[in-house]
Amino acid sequence: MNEDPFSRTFKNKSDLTFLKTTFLLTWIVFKLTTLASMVNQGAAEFIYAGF
Amino acid sequence: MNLIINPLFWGMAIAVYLLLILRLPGKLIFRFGLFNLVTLIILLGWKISFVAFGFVVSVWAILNLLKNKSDLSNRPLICIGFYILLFSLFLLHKLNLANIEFTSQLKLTAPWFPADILLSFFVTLSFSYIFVRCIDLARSCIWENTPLIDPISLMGYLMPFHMLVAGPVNIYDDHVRAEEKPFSPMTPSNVLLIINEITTGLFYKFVLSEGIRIYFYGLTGNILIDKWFDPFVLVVYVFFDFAGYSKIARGLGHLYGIPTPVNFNAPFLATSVTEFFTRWHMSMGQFIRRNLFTPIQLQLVRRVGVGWSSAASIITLVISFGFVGLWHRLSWTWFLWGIAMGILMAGEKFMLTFLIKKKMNSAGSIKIVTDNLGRLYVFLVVAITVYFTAKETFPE
Repeated sequence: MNEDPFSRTFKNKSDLTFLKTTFLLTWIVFKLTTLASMVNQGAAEFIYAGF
Repeated sequence: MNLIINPLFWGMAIAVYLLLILRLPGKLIFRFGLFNLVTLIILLGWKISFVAFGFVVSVWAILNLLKNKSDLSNRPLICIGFYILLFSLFLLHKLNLANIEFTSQLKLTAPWFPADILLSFFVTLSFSYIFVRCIDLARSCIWENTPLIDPISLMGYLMPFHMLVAGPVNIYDDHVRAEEKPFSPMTPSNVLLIINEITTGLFYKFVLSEGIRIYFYGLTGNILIDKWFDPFVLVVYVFFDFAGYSKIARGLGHLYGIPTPVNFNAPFLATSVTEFFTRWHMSMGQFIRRNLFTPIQLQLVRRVGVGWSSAASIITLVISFGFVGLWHRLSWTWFLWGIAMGILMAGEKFMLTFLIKKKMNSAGSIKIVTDNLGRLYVFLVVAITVYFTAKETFPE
């Protein structure tokens, strides 16, 4: 099975510190907020290429 | 509406996770296969899902025959027939993508052929990915003795709903052994890391990639190669688009414990085109290595001898990338793109061998300079290829 940086992070850090959890949650909320504003503009309709 | 921002997609994604953690009887891949089938019915409708399941059962039946009936007299014939059928369906799908009029033309020339339902099934489920998964499945089952899983589980391998839009190309052997290498338990921290991966994917695709598109081409404008910087913009745009989809699939795969390979690993840090293709669409590169490069290379070396292995690897590289080109689009432009990439990588291989022989491979501070020049060269090569292929990749 492929090993990659995300898998390693995922396996080694079963518990995040309070600071890291706060940072991650803030980052996730930021991403979701910008995502919502883009979707509201109708920006997400485009699909560049079908396979 | 784009499948990934459809609330129903996310509702089903969460439902599948909740159903999987209930630990109902049956293997993980069977349970995933079953929930995946239900999800496809809800997301795409019963008609497409019925055709999809029919296709999976047909593939399963042929492979079951080839695998379990060792006394089969016409085994090679069935094997060849299976590959011909698979390639024919792939060809139909590619012809349909290349020509808007293809379905109506096919209906006129072959009214008995169920063109409407079959071709829409191909497009909706990204048949190009199903095709390469079928090749991987056939190699593992027929040539390498990996067990053939039941049709429901197979549906979860060939058409997993979270890899529907843009892959990645998952590995059959890994899928079969999903339960042998389980991921860490779902602690709140792990779930948070997975949510972070998924939201980063959404951010890449719908904020960065779409933001770039809207800034340069407008909300409803077509992607065009007009100005000198357009190819460079498009390279960045395609990266965030494709890497975004891949991250979403990876995150969901981790959540379910279903092997979903990594697809991108900082490709623009590559210092050569050869390295670039080990970092960009990695699952496709690995597929090519398993199913095309290694078998062809072995056959060629056996025929011509070890002394000619370098020449054999050049031929294999060109053939492999010729296939990659045709997999993208069935056109001369993409075929020549593949050949050019193969030749370029063969050239890099020669150059590297020459530098090592002459002990001219750089080290220390010179390496920093050559590495950065290498990155610039890779970005330029990719932008140039985008310039030539953009008309077919981004039709007006």
